Amino acid sequence: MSGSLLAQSAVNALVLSSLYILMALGFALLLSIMGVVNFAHAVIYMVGGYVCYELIVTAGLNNWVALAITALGLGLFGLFLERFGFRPFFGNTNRIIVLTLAVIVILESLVNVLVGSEVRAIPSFWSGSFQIKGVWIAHERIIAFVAAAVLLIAVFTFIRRSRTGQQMLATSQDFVGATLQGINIYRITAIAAFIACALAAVAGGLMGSLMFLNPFAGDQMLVRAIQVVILAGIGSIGGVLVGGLILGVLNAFLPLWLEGSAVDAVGVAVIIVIMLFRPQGLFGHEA
Amino acid sequence: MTKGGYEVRKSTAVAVLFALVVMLALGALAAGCGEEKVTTTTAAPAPTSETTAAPPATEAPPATEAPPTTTPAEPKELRIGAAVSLTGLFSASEQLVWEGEQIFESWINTKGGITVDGQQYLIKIIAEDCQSTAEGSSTAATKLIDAGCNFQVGPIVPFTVIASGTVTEPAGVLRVVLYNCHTPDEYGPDTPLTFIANDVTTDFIQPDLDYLKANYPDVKKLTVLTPDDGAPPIFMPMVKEMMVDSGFELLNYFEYDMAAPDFTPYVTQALATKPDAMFFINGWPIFMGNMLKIARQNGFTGPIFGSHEDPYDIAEIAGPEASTDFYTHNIQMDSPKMTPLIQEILALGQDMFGKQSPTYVWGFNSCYCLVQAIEHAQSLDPKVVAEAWENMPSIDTVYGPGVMGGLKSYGIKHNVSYATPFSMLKDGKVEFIDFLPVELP
Repeated sequence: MSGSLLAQSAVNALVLSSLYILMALGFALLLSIMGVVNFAHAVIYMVGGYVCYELIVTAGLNNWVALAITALGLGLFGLFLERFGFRPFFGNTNRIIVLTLAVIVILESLVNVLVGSEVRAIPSFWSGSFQIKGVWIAHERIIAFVAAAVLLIAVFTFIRRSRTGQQMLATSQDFVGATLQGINIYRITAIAAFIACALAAVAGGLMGSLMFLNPFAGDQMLVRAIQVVILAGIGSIGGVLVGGLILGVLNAFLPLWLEGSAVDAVGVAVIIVIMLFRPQGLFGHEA
Repeated sequence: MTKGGYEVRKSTAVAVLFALVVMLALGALAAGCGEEKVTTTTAAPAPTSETTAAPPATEAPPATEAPPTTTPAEPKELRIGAAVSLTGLFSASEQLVWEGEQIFESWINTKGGITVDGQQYLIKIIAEDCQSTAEGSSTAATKLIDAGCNFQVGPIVPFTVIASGTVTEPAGVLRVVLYNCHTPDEYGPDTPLTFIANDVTTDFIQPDLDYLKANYPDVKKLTVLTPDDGAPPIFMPMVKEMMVDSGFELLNYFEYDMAAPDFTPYVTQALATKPDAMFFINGWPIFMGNMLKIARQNGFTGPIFGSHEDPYDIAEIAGPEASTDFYTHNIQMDSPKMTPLIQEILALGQDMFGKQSPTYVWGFNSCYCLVQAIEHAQSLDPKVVAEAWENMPSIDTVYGPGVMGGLKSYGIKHNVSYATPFSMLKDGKVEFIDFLPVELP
C-alpha cells in the first residue's frame, strides 16, 4: 500500500466526514432539542440537491446563489414542518415517526415521478484538480470541505456563543426547566428546525455536485446520519464532529482492503464494537 | 401525551390545515422540478446505406406486417409483463427501460399488433416495480403472473434476475431478461424459459480489445472496476483470458459497492495499479459517470471502456471536461448511421415522453424480439414459443439482423446476438464509431 494511496484516502476521509457531519448535525439538533427522530431529514437532503440543480441549470443562477436559496427554501420548509408537523405532536414519538415516514414517501415519490428517469448531477462548483506530492485533489472536493467546515464553525459558534444558541442548549438539556426560565420554547424549536433543514439542503447540494442526484439518495444518507448520531451519543451535538469523522474515515479507508458491500458490513461492525464499550455513545451520558 | 408538561395539540383542524399546506408546498416544488430536460429535440437524420451494416430494420420483420384482412375475430389482448425497478437505486435508468417498452406497445399496436393462429392480438404491457431489490423482483414476477402475463420482459441486474427466475421458471412463464452477468442462476440450462435479447457483459470485451489494439498500440496494462453484484468471480476469469489472449496484462480488478457514498476509494485503488487503460465492466451510468469524473480528476488520461451504458447520462454526470476517451456499446442518437427503426423509436419517445434516450432502444428491443418469437411459433404457449425461438435461423433486432447463440458460453441457445453499436465520448460529446461484429456466444 503506497503512501500516496493512503494520503489520497485521508483527503477523501476529510471530505466525506465534513458532509456526514453537516448532514448529521441537523438530525442531532432536532433529536436533542425536540426529541424528534426526523427520518425525513435525509429526504430533505435529497430534495435540496434537486432544488439546487433546478436553480442552477433551469434558472441559470450562480452555484453559490443557488445553494444559498436552496438552504433558505428548505430552511423555511423546516419551519413549516416544525409548526404543522412536529409541534402538535411533541412528546408523541409514534406519531412523529409516522409523520416523518409519510413525508419521506410523499417527497420521494414526488421527485421520482417528476424527475426519476432523468440522470442528473449538479454542475461542478469549481472544476479541475491539482496534485501535491502524488496526491490528486479535485477543486470541487476542496470547495465541499471548506463550505461544510465554514458552516459547521458558524453553527457551533452560534450555539455556543449566542443567547439563542445557549437557549437551544438549555432546551436540549431540560425542556420544562427552560420554559420555567422564560425561554420561548417554540421559537427555539423553530430555529432548530430551520437550521437542521438548511444544513441538510446544503449537504444535498454539495453531494449532488460531487456524486449525482437520485430520488432515493437520501436512504443511504439517513443510515449514515443515524450511525453518526449513535456514535456521538444521543443528545450530544458536539459529539457529531467525532462521530462523522470516524464514519468518514471508515468509508474512505475500508475499501482499500475490502471489496464492495463488505465495507458497509465491517463499518457497522466497528460501530457495534464501540457501542459495546460505550453504550451511550462516545459523548452521550448514561441514562 | 406531553413532553415536559406541554400538552399535545392535535385538533382535526390543524391536521387538515397541515395536509393542505403540505400539498401546496409539494405543488410549488413540483413547479420547480417538473421541467423536462430534453436531451435531443431534433429528429434523427435519415440513414445512409453505407453506414448501416444491417439491413434496415423496417424490411418486413414479421411483427410489423399488417394483419390479414380476413381476420375473423375482434382483436384480443396479449399481456406482457414488464419487471422493472421504478423505485430504488436502479430506477433512474430502469424507468427509461419502461418508457422504451411503452414505446414498443404503442408502435406494435399502431401496426395492428401480432397475429397468432389467425387471431389478431394487440399488446398490453403491464409494469410491476422490482424496487431495485431481490424480494421486490420476485414479488413483481408473482404479481405479473397473477395479472395473466405468461410472457415477461426484465429484470436487469443479476440478483433481481435470479429472484425473478425463482418465480417465472416454475410457473412456466417465458422471460426475456435485459442483461446477463454470467452467474449460472441468471441464465443457463437450468432456466429453460429465460432468453436474452441484447448483447451482454463479455460480448463487449473482445470488440473493445480489438479496438484498443488497433487504436492505442502503446496500451498494454489494464485494470477493471466492476460492481459487487456477485458476478465478477464468474466472468472475470473469462475477461482475463480474453485480455491475455489479446496480448494485454490484467493488473487487477476491483469490486465497488453500488450504494457507496463515494467511489473515490475504488478509483484511487485502480489508478494505483498504474494501468494504461481501464475497463468499467457493467454498472449503471450513475456509477460510471462518477467514476469517469474521479479518474480524470485524479490525472488519468488513458482510454476507459464501459459496457453498454447510456453515454449521454455518463457525460451528464462526469461533466464535459472529464467526458473524453470513454467508450461504450451504445448509440449516438443523432447519428445518420442509426437504423431506421432506432430513429423511429427515438422519434416516438420524443412524441410520447418529450425526450429521447438510448435506453428506450434497449427496452424496446426485448419486446420486439419476443413478439417475433411468438409470431414465429404461432402459439401463446411459453414452452412452444421457447422451442421455436431457439431454433429461429435469424431474428430482427433494432440494431440490425441477429442470430441465436449462447450454446458455447452458456450451454443454452437463448441469446440474440447482433453487431454491437460502439460510441465514444470525446470532449463531452457522443460520437458513434460503428456497429462492431460480436463473436457468437
